[in-house]
Amino acid sequence: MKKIPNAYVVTLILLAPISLLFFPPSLTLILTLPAALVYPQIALFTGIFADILYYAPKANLEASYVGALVYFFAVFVRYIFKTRIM
Amino acid sequence: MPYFHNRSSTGRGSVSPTGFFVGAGLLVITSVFLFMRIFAPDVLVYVSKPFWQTGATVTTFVSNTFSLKSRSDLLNEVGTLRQTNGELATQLSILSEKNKTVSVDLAGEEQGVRAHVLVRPPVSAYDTLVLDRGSESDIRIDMYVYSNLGIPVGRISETGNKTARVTLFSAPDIKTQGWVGDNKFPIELVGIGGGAFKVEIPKEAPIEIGESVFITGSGATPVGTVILVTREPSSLVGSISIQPFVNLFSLTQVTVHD
Repeated sequence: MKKIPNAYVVTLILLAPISLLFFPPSLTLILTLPAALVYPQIALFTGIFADILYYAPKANLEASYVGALVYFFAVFVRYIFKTRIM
Repeated sequence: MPYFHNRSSTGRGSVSPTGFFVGAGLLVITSVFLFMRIFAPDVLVYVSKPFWQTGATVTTFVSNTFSLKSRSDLLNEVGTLRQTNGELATQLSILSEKNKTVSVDLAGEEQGVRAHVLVRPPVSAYDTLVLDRGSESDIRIDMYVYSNLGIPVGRISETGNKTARVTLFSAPDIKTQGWVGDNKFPIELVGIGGGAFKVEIPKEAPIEIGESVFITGSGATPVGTVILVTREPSSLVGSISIQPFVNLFSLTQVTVHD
């Protein structure tokens, strides 16, 4: 089985945070999940980036919380199942 | 051949060089954006503006292209809109006649600062707007923001020199005092995002469907109507659903004033 080309991985990683500027947060979440399975830090970064862009005073930092949640989920998944292609 | 590998035998917790660089890079980028947000909000908006404008264009294109409504639904909607248009034209003529009897002439006294909306829901999380005017245009924190029809939609929460951020009344967890109907029954509107509110009322509250909802402190302009009143027999409190007059997803211009 072929290894996923780096270009795809880079696109996946960039798409999640950049989509915050184009699409609703729900779509960003969908894009973040696969990216986070490759690099969990992406989820954390995307959440914080969403708050930097759109945080409103008096609101909770929900985007960062969700980002942290996805980060821990991705770390957990990677911890349990580390798939290797041989 | 792919297989699931037990990490315990390969050094659990080890970070690959690529992962380290990705993490470090993201940390630097986050710090730069955070710095901009705190110390130079105008720069952040300036950098994001082309993306937001492209996003708005793309969203409009997609929603127009992939409309899920059938032809018959659209025809029905056109018929309803024509009927509503006729009714509104009648109301307008009545109000125009009444307006002639008002002694105070408000023409030429347009209040406030007009501003373009750079980003709006659903793209902006938390129901916030970013405006292209700021403190240089005399916009200050806590000023009210109105739609083109003069309906209050939120308040200024942050200002830069050339930009401002608006927290909409419907932003999550934002509480706004208001009242309903001619009885002026007091309510507390709690924003839940997406232009929607959660409003709890006592079960015996004299609120009916179709009554107007007002927000305190912004003049007696209704912000929406009651479309559903829920009163569960087993509960002491009920709730109402509000249909806002302003579609936040299509706001392009607003007026800001005290």
